[in-house]
Amino acid sequence: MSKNNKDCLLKVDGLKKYFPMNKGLVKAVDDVSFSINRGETLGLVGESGCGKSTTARTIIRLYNPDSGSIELDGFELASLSQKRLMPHRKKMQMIFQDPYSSLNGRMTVRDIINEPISVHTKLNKNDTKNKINDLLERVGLNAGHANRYPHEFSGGQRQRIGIARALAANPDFIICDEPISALDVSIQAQVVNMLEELQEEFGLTYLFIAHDLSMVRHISNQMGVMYLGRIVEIGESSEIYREPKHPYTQALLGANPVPDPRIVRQKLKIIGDIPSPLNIPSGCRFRTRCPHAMDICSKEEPQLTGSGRQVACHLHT
Amino acid sequence: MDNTLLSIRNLHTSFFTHVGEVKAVQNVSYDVRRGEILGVVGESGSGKSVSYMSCMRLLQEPGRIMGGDVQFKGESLLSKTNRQMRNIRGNRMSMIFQNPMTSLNAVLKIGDQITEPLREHKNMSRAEAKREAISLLERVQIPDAEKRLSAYPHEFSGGMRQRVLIAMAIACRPDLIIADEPTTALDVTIQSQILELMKDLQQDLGTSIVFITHDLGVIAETCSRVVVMYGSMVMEEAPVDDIFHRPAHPYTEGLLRSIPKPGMEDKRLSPIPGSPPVQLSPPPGCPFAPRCNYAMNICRRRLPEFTKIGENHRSACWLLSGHAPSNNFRRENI
Ligand SMILES: Nc1ncnc2c1ncn2[C@@H]1O[C@H](COP(=O)(O)OP(=O)(O)OP(=O)(O)O)[C@@H](O)[C@H]1O
Ligand SMILES: Nc1ncnc2c1ncn2[C@@H]1O[C@H](COP(=O)(O)OP(=O)(O)OP(=O)(O)O)[C@@H](O)[C@H]1O
Ligand code: SF4
Ligand SMILES: [Mg+2]
Ligand SMILES: [Mg+2]
Repeated sequence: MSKNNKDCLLKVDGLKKYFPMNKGLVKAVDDVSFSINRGETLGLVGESGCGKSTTARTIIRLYNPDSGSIELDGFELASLSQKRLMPHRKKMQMIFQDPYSSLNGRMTVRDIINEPISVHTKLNKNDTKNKINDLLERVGLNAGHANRYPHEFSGGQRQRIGIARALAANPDFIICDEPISALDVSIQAQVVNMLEELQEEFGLTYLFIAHDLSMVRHISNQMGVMYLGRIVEIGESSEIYREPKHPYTQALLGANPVPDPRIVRQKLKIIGDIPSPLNIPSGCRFRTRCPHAMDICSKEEPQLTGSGRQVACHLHT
Repeated sequence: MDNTLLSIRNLHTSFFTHVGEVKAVQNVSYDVRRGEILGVVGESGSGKSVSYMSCMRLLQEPGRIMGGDVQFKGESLLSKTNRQMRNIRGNRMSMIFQNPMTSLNAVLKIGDQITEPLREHKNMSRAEAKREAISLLERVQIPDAEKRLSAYPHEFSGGMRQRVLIAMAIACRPDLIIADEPTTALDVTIQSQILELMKDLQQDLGTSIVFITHDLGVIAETCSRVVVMYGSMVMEEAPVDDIFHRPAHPYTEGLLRSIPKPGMEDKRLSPIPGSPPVQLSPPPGCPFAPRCNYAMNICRRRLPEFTKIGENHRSACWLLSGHAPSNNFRRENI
């Protein structure tokens, strides 16, 4: 990771978010640290339940962190009250997975996009109208769509409406939580291209969460691999793809099906299911499924080490 | 010996909704061969699931089969009685769905759910069925199989439930398994285990599998032949290598171009422009024409017929007809 703080927009350090449940404590995010440079994209991958969305929601302060710091553009947000957080809210926006349920079906497209504008800016009526029309055009829709309702649009178009809403407050940082998972393959590329164009145009910084590893490689400069609430490997995406170091990253990349029948790969088999987050294995969290597990792996929790690429694995200390 | 297991001919299925007739499946014809894994891929809403709901006679109101025929081992399924169909389903052909929770009975023990079809279709005694259930669970790599018979579905993880469904699907050694997005809800590491398992079973049992998915990676890794659907019709049918390396339909080509390629991170992706079709009032002509980069006048007026490209390869596109003007489609190998 770049240590150049001048370029760093978001710096997360030691972030923890625990959910108390009847049966015990779910350590959904358990000591997560990373930073994202301005204008760049960090991809976050990992199996269902590993804590990607909780990380995102805690950063944006939909959840209060149990500990750790969240520094956005030089301001520490983790400990701010919701009231004092308000002026910073417009700098971070979120785009959700489900373009069907994330838009209020009873509001017109205009009202949906107007909401953040009226909360976060002081534009007059006419400027607001122009701004909404500009945004619609920017995401490939037009002013004629403003008076229609979400159900009148296809999935890809609804995701564009969600993007327009996220852009409305002129944010610096956008979290995209599975923004293309619900879309057809033929539409996914449209949305990803749009996100990339908007990033270039407005210098946006993204945290991009997705299941599709090849899409993450395409869009992100850096990527982090999460397992049971922790980052096990983080570094430049192309480097991680070229040479994954953590056995979990190796398994994840190996399991990702390649759309070419001529490529037949030797797969690294990982056995079993992800353990319950209520019952996290001692030492290395991955050891119960790791083909290389050694004695030390059940005793000591490996820490992220390395400069540039960081890996949390006893094979790499 | 006849290689054909399931033969779909000119199948038409519609839903009569309050806003009008939705033509969900139109003029679909193709075969599923014995012992093959056939992939069915296509846009959401293109008619993949409804085709097989029609074949299995599981269509619900307001759906209706409007024409065509479906033959299974040479016999028409559309003229069978409901009772005969019940015997064929679960016995000679079985289905695995995307969401294992909705296809398992939440209040019945796993063991009872697996033994039921064995007792019904294979006349096994309680003890025989139990022994068979244990061996089936072992076959799908569920540890502690005997103990797990008395567990309920909610005690299993998503991947485990999908394994149970596979065990149930193969219980009666069917000739055909229809797997509708069986791994879409699973993580890639679990998906890869399930795909391996299905490939192994297919090899061992010689069952034919129809694999419905929108994931081109899954198709490439599991299927030997592929049917591509768009706008309730079949666009292309070919061996898997042809689909990926010599696609003969602009929609197939567009799909392949829209997925990210290694080493091309700095370039923009090449999406298919426009939005998926609305089935309610489809325009005449090729359903893909509004989004097709190559569309000609005739494409918007008349439905293209199939052109045979090779022994096992056909595509419904006007570009391939002898009358098409020279064009730059199919010049390059993807
Ligand atoms: N509000 C909540 N209350 C209790 N537990 C929660 C809550 N939100 C998430 N969890 C738990 O925290 C863990 C992490 O969940 P999270 O949604 O962050 O995972 P994820 O990586 O986003 O998964 P997915 O890929 O399925 O979206 C899971 O075990 C989940 O059950
Ligand atoms: N019960 C129903 N009532 C009305 N229309 C229906 C019904 N079920 C399906 N359809 C319509 O039939 C068409 C084909 O649907 P189908 O479920 O076969 O699509 P699919 O190819 O399986 O898509 P997906 O990839 O999303 O599963 C769609 O336009 C759908 O809206
Ligand atoms: S028939 Fe015409 S519109 Fe349809 S795919 Fe071929 S070229 Fe495109
Ligand atoms: Mg999530
Ligand atoms: Mg379907």
